[in-house]
Amino acid sequence: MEIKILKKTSNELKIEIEGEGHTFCNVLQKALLEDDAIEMAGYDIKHPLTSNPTVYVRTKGKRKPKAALIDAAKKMQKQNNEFKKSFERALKGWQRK
Amino acid sequence: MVEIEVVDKTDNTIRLFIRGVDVSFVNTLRRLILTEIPSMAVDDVVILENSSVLNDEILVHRLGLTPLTTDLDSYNLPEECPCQSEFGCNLCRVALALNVEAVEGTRTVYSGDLVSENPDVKPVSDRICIVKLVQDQKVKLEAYARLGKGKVHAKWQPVSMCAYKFFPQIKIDGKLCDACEDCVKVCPKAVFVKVGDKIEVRNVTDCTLCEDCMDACAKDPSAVELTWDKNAFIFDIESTGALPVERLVRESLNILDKKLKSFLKNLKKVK
Amino acid sequence: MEVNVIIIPVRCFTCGSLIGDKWEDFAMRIKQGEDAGNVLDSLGMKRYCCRRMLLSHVEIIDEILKFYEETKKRETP
Repeated sequence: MEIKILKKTSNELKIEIEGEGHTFCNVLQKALLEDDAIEMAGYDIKHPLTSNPTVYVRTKGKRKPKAALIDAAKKMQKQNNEFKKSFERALKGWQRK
Repeated sequence: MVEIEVVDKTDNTIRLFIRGVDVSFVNTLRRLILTEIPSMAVDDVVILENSSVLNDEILVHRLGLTPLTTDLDSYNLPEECPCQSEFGCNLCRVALALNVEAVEGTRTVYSGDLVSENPDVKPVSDRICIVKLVQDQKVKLEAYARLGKGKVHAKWQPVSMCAYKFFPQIKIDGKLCDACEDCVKVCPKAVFVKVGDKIEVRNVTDCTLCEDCMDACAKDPSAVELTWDKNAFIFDIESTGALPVERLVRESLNILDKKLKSFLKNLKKVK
Repeated sequence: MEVNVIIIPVRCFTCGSLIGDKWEDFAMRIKQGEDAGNVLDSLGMKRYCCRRMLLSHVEIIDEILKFYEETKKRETP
């Protein structure tokens, strides 16, 4: 998953993620938007077959957009782990039934 | 807080109630299961002899679509395999041989006639008709199965169904409702039942959120109120038999984990 | 000579679930006079996309095989 930076200012960041699509970018956007310091977050896939998604983040000023992206990804990791544990517990619950 | 409950499970199907996550997460899981989990399917076929009535291409297409049980732990995806060869090695390819001749009268060739070099990778069912042969006709071929992803070809999709819906919430206003049974008649999934002079809700999970019950209700405002919980889902998976269902969920979570790790690593690298 | 031969598809065109192993059972039970809906239910086919695959299928391969069987018979004395 190569990342290219397309645009960078003090409160803006636009990156291109190679080889990904809605699968990854949609959750990422959602996680970014839950952050209060973020003014705008979104992604765009120019052509569904040939292009890579570009993710755009703009913060309200105080926060670095890159740090916000890292936090969002870490939050998703946490949620993912929680889901994993919950699922294993649910499976055990079913086996007991 | 994520809450999951297994409501129903068989070898090939599972139904989960998931609470406490948003749509984008559940949708990502769905997309991962459909497109990113590797499974085995026949990819290359060398035909040595085919005197059957089916063309080589049709025969090969049928073999490709035959779902194979997958041994995910002992095989690599061809593009990630250290051998880097187009033909593949023992770590990224399984050979299946088919050698059938109709000796006595007409005979059907079944998927069970395929002889795999690895007993863990074989057709899900032995009774899939591949072709019919008349006496003296012969099919002799070698098929090579590889791991692949559903986004490349549907034959590599490990599931025949993977879908979710919001958890329905149906409320009936006891003061407004006069038990006219209009909603009972119109509901395609028989969610409503008349008990005495009251309408009761049964099998909420069957509801397809079509809202016909609200339209059918003659009262204004409608005595039936149908809404759905935005953070609760009914998640259904039906495996083709390539992988066990619980493995599919685990694998999709692992893939998302891998994606996040590589995203973080690469993000920290770029300036 | 090219002939279009039809044999039951391996998977459902719409959802991709396996149907190739159910045809023989289905066809035999229908021939015995069972109700098609009940047979499909007992084979575990829930969705109408898979059900129509079996219901609307016409197995033509047998019709074509007849010609080959006949030639075979005439060849051998």
